[in-house]
Amino acid sequence: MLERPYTLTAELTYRCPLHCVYCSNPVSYDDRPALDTEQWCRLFAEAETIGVMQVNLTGGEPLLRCDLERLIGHAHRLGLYTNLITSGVPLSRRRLARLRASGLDAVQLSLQSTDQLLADRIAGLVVHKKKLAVARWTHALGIPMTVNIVLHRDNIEQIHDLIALAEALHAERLELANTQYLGWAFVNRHALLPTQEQLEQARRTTQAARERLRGRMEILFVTPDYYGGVPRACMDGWGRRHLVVSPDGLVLPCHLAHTLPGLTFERAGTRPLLDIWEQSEGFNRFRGEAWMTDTCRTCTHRTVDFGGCRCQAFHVTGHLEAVDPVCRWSPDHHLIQTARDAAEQRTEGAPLWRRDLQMVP
Amino acid sequence: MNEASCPALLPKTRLRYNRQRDACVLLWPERGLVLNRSAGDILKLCGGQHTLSSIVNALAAQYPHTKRDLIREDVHRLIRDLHSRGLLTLE
Repeated sequence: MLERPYTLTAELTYRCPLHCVYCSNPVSYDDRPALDTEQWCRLFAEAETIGVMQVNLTGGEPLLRCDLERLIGHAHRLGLYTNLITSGVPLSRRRLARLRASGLDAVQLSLQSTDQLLADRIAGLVVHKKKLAVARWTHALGIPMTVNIVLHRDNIEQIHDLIALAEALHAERLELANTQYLGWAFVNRHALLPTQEQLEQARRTTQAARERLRGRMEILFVTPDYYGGVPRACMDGWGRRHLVVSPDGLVLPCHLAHTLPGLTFERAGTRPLLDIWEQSEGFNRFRGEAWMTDTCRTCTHRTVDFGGCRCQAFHVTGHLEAVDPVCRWSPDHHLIQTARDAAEQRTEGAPLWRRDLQMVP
Repeated sequence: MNEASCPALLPKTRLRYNRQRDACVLLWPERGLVLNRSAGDILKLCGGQHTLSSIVNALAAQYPHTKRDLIREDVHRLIRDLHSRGLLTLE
């Protein structure tokens, strides 16, 4: 039987003052009007009635919405657990207190590095000191905080200091998330992919810290699938537990699903959310196993990875149903191996591409 | 952990009734547990003001047809499990 969705990820806007080189926003998208306050509120209410229990408020940068307090208040009154996923810019202590008073349950704050110059270079803006201030306010206001750090070639060797920083900031949870090479990260993969040795060192350091900090700070180390040999269970499987809604109201199984060609997704409010979840072509496209190639359909790991990441399969191989190329059994695995080889051989810095602020509505 | 410990759910958790699942759910950042009826009843008492033994007493009164030893075992197992997941403290 089809499960009900558990989490709604509300991408309140694609706008963001930062220009991180691994930004997971789509590289290009149609410029349609964003959902307004009432539309988001209706969507939250409908999501709650079909079983959603958690709302991730994200973007872009959700703080850019001046109705964020109202949206949080509404979700809170519906009994949803509200999690603000933010860069912390722009935020004042007063506004954070207001968001908390509106019913905000938890904050996930991104940091880029322990080193201010590197952090600001990755983000494309002078933000590091501000983020540290936001972390201190979050703790002072008693809001549970997850620190999220995207790991890549230029910061992965700081892992010991990154963990110490999160500890000093009183994070309850630290996500050390190796870059997923999609969106802008795929464009910049040549510059971001770490070497195997960097990765192994980071893994060892994290394991030691996890033992030391047990019971105080939970540490999650998201392994990069480029070095895993098996695909990750992207979104816990297509259309199994997660609903993502883009700023303009497309209801999606993942935040990049609308970058796949030939799939049809529907807009919130055009028909009941449960119908979209259960019946829409886009949600059903990669449910179950019928769509899989024989390589996946006969593999015991299919019940673990659900066929891996469709966006990655398409953007790397050009084919929607292809085996996720990070899988060692994929006929396209050499494409991943080539990228890894390039990472091993590269000795100099590489140019980085960034989202152009003017292109963003 | 002993009979005088007072289990308290951490501030990051939210204990809520979910009408779609007709069950209590325990939520925390990005995760959650759907609780069976007795687990929900136990956690409602985990605000730091009750000792383990008084929680067992309360449950025994609520479930008169279940043996007290079984209830005690259930309560202890649940509290230990959530404590090891970092979701509650034992004062």
